[in-house]
Amino acid sequence: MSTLARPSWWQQRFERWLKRRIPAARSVTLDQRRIFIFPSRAGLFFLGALAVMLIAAINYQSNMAFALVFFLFGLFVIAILHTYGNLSGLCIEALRGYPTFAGEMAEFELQLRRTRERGYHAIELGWPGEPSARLSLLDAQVATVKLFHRSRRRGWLRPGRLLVQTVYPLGLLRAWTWIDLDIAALVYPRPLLGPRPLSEGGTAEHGTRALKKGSDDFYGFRAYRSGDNLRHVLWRAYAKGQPLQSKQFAETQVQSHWLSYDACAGDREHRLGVLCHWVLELERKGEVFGLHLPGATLALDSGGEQRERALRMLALFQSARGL
Amino acid sequence: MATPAWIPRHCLGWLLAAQVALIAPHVSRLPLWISFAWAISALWRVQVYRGHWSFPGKLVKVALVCASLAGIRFNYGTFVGLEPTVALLITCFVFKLLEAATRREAYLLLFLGYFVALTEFLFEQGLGVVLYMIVPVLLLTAALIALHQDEPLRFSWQPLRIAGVMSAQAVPLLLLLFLVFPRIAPLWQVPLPGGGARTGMSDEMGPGDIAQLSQSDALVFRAAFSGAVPAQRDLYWRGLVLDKFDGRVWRANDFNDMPLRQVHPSPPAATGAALEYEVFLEPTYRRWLYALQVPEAVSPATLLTLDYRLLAKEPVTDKFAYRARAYPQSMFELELDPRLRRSELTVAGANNNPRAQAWAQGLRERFANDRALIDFVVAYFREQQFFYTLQPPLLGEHSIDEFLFDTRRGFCEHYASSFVFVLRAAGIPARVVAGYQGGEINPLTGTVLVHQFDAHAWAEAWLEGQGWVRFDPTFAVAPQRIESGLERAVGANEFLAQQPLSVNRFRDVNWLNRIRLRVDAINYGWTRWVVNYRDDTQTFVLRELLGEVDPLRMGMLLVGGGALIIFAVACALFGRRLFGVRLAAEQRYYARFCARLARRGYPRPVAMAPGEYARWVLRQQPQWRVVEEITACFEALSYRRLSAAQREQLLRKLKRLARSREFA
Repeated sequence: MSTLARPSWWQQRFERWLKRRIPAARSVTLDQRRIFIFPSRAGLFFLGALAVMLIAAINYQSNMAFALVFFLFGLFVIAILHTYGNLSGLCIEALRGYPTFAGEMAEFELQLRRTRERGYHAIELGWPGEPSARLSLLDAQVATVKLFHRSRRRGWLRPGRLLVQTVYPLGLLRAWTWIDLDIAALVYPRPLLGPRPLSEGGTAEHGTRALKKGSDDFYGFRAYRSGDNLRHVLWRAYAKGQPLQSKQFAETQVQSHWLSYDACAGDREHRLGVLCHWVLELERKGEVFGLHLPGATLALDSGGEQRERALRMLALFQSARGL
Repeated sequence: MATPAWIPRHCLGWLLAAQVALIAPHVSRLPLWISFAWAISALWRVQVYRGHWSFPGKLVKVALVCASLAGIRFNYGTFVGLEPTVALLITCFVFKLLEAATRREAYLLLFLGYFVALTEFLFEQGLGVVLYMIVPVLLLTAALIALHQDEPLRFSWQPLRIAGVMSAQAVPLLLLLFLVFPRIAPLWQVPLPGGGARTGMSDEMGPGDIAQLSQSDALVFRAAFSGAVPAQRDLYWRGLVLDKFDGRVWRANDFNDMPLRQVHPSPPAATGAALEYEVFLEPTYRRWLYALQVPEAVSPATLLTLDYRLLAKEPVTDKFAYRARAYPQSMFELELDPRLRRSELTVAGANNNPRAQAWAQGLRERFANDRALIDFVVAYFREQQFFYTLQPPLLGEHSIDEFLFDTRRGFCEHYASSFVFVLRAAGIPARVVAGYQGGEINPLTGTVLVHQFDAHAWAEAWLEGQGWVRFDPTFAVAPQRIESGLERAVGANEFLAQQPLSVNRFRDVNWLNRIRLRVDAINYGWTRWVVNYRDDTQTFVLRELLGEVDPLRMGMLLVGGGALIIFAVACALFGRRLFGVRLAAEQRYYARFCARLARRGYPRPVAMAPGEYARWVLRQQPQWRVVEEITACFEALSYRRLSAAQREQLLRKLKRLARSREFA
């Protein structure tokens, strides 16, 4: 849909009309204002077959053959209502989009809820050009569906209009709608290998801090927290059935790193990629790091949350598609 | 979009069932090997379905297709024609199911299936067949639905149930279209069904042929008279005029099939009172029709021949209805064409039945008057020891001689044949007429039912100043046959002796007879109003409905009726939600409550749970205690299991509280 570089005049008109008719929302309940319906390819083929059958009925002057053709045509007409009914009243809610690295598939979670007794069969959801998901909502009131969208650039990924369609029950008609879900996923820069971009004098400043978690001297256990270095997990205890525990090490000489945008070489995206790589690398080693970007600074810290903060900064740095 | 393109397993089950139901009625018309091929490929497909065997390879498929093409060619000698086409269609259907794996192939297969269902109606349109065909069509539709459903964990009737519901909703549209759709004339000539070996009147008659025919209790036609039904003895349904004789077999003369108007542009008008009737003929695969004397063609698809018979313009391959008029008192062909006169007088060869010829010449010398001679011959049949029987002795080379002077036991064809032979030998133009005589009146419908056992042969002789006059020598021998039918004439032992279970043999069993007549009345209605719904009938019904038949009214009926049907179905499907999504009552009340709070400056943030929202509002407006109560009410209605009474009570409370003035 948005793959064309410059949408033509009528595409813009259509886009505007669609926006008015189906505005962006967190949650969309499908009704007759939003649902479009047209014969599917199989349906057009079916109509062609009906035409041939009608000619046979005329040429053989067989009233029962006429009746069969009329019955099948009636079935086709009735299927319009049933196919429409298989979308109408379906409520689609945007749950969340998970962060990803540029170039990978971003994962989105949507929730389908029914607002009526009857179930829904074989609903297909997907963004154009992306893999689609197919699910039914029969016994459950609510179903969660995971959708994926390719991410190309860092920043916020807004996947655009989501195609929701169904051909159930006969496959002869396709009912569909384009909904603009208010959903987004954060795309981090793609990690790039490069020299460590350390700013000068970075290590001395906080070097005298008291005991800091590190990797030199063991000083105790604590319950495992997500983001702890897996090499420090006490696997022996876990194998005995105890909860996951991490070893804690005391560190007298704190290794703290300042990653700096200015210390990188190359263009902006390349620098951000290298920074991203080092954020991941330092966090994996459990080290303390901070981040200097032009106009923004992230204070020293370590662990998973620090990583998220840093990656978010990198993702949104001077991003045209930022918040 | 990438959808799972494979046929779901349960859909295959429905497809296999549909195939069985579809092909079953065709089996009797198909060569035996197709049924075998079907059984084997169905077994193969089931084994593939169960994961035991694999799909046939490309080579096997090509071999199968070639073999079946050759088989059809061998069986029918051609690919053109209805039967070979249907055979081809069914083989395609059978082999396509064997290889079908993707959804696209399933569509093709199902549409092919609908087409196979249609071809059944090109052969048969009886009520029984039509009722039966509901089964395969429903199964096909169930397969189509199953194709789009997720695989259920256990077998489910659901696809069939949905197919049933949708079909029921489609039926009113079918009726409307059936009523209104104009029955256009065929667009081009199509090969008609051949009919195969059927019992019925043939265009040649040897000794014993009609006796054989009268062993069948099949219906030939029904006739509905617009006035009173004439007496049984006057119901001579002329079908064929047989005037060529080779000493044993009588044959029709093709020359007689010429339309009368082609030879005589203005034939003399018939005189006397007219009988109006309509005939509903079962398929005969022949062109000749049955009509009372002297006929006049009324329906445009019929014509009057040179020898005053009715002929259909096309072979009757389907139930066929025609109107006709008869002038019983009228005379016809007062002037005999000299060429015709020669042929009617022909007695093949002098060494043919010499005793009968000599006898006839003797009569000629005794009687100068033709009429007197004929009367004498009729009296001869009546007074000598002739017997009317369905089981006459076999006759040799001079069949007429043997019958007239030795055996004297015969069925109507023996009497008609020898009568005509004697007249011809005496120089009187005469011919055999084959058709049906009499019929049974169904008191429920007032129609005359004519069965194969009413088959009869009689004679016509040409007399100066009177034209062709009917003579029935059988009447002289067995008047009951003519006055009350074959059963009375031959007795219960001989009647339908080869069909011991025929319902027609049990006419004396009162309740059985009532059922038989009731079934016949239903079939008559079906044929009269449904199978033959076209031309006059259509115009009549539409005029009853609309008052006047014009394109505007027809269009209005179609559009208005269609819209009404679709609207009714939509109402049934969506109920009150037709005009937008209708929320449950508690959600509506709660939404109203949220909207009021929003107006007061506390809009509910998206995705904030009701409980949280209430706490958030109360933190800022602690005096609005009712917010808590409303929320508790709403949550109870939404999430707790309640009895109907409790629910009703809570709903009323919520409605009242949501209107509360406390925070307004």
